[in-house]
Amino acid sequence: MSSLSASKEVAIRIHDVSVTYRANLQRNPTLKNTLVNLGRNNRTVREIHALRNVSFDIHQGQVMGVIGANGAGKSTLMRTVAGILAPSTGRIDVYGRVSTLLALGVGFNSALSGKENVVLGGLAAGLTRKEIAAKYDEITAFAELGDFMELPMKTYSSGMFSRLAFAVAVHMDPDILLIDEALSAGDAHFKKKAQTKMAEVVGQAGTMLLVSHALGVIKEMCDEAVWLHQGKLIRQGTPEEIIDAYTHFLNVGDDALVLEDF
Amino acid sequence: MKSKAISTEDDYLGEHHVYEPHRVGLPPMGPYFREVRRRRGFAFELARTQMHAANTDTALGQVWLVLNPLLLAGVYYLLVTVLQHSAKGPTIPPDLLPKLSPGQIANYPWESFAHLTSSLFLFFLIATIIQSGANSVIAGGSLIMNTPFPKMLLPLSSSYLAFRRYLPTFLVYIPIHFLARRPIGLNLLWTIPMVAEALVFGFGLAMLFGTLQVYFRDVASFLPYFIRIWLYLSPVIYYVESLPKGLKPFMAFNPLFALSGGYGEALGGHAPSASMVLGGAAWAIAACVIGGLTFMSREREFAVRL
Repeated sequence: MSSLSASKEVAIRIHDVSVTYRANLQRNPTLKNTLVNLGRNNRTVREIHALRNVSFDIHQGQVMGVIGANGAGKSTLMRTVAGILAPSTGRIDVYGRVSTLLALGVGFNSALSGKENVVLGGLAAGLTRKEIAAKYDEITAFAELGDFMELPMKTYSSGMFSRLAFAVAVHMDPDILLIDEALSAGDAHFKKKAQTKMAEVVGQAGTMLLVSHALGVIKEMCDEAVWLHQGKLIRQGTPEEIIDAYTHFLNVGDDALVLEDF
Repeated sequence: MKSKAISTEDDYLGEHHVYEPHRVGLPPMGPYFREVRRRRGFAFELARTQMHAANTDTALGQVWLVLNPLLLAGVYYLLVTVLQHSAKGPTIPPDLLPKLSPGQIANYPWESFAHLTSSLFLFFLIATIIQSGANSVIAGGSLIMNTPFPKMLLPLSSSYLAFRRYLPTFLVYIPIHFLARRPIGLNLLWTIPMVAEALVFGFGLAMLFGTLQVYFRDVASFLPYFIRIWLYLSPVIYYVESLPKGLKPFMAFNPLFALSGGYGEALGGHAPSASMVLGGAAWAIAACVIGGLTFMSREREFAVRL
């Protein structure tokens, strides 16, 4: 169907993808509840259409912003591209090595020191010990944690925690970086630095898919954007166009920029 | 559908990934196991850090790992002695007599204690693998939601952790072995394949219960009861030889009969009978195949179930 040479330019091809899943309405799915409800025909599941027939391409070296209200399907889209959730229909082709930053400090154990967590987080993301050792100094320098690297992560502030998580994710030499609201922690200084680093990753022929509610970040970093609403792709275009359309939709006009950083 | 998956490359980190809808089905086995192999370092590191976080790699933590099963062995020993032994002293099951050396017979209280501790430690190994394996998938929830990786690494990690915790108890057994005047010889090496069978068997059940736990969150709460009953039905706190003749045919249905029985024979200085070794291997392979297929066919659904 798709030959590698023909799609060289495309980093991610999302073709008519829908994601539907059944949410269990039971507080906790247990064997006991299942047995008790057996034959009573109670509907305990509800279908949720998280994505509906979404199609778009992301080219190599491109930064694609994803905006939309809560529940628009942004995180589902990211997880589907990462291969965590399977699409219900459609097809996604991803060309390249993917690094995800969907939630902060995944694979981290807060009882362990920052140093041990860098190793654990790196291994969780699929790096080898050797690769982690080679990148360790770079990661610590980037996270600017100093002596805290030796302390358990439960002593970290949330900003420090996210700095380390971000540092691990961006130092994996990804071809494609998927970032979901990662910059909301961290202080202004770190945000600036993180943006520079992300631009650098993209500069190295990297591709990025960025979810953010901070419209300023989308405007500054992305060269294209999509707007999702209730699982549907409403519009695709330049960040300016999309942000204008989105803020118009939100009916708050220019005040939208005030929303930034929340 | 999986038949349409044309991705010939590494499914997780390679150059080209194709994500398409699939029903319950198995992922391509080759890439899957290559990836499990490539990422095994993560499973071991996860287990190591969990030991570290639980302080089990400190001296006192290790002591507790040993003390806890030893105390339990003491409790069971009292229980069994009080229930079984007359005031004149312990009665040795007649079927067991030919298998014991004169030294062991003279030291029968120690001999039965050696049997009890060694079998209990092996039983705890299997029980811990199953229980922690049942919780491993749920415990790794945030990881599953945010990173693509072969989920089999989670029960693998918890099984490895259980094994690491079992190792020090083996050291405790050594002096008891001497006190019981149990024979020392090459037959003791049979314990290695028997423990290996127990590990594989436990890992298979860990995958099975890990999958069940995703769908029914109360499975792990039933497990302790199930395991306790299983303990009483197995030749752990008693010898295989002390079973009434009529019960023996039913023992073929208990995996622990072969696993624990063969292990006990090996530690008693005998080459375990072929039925024990092969029976244990059959149980281990069956558990691993059933657990593994259940796990792998369901694991791509875990992300939506968590």
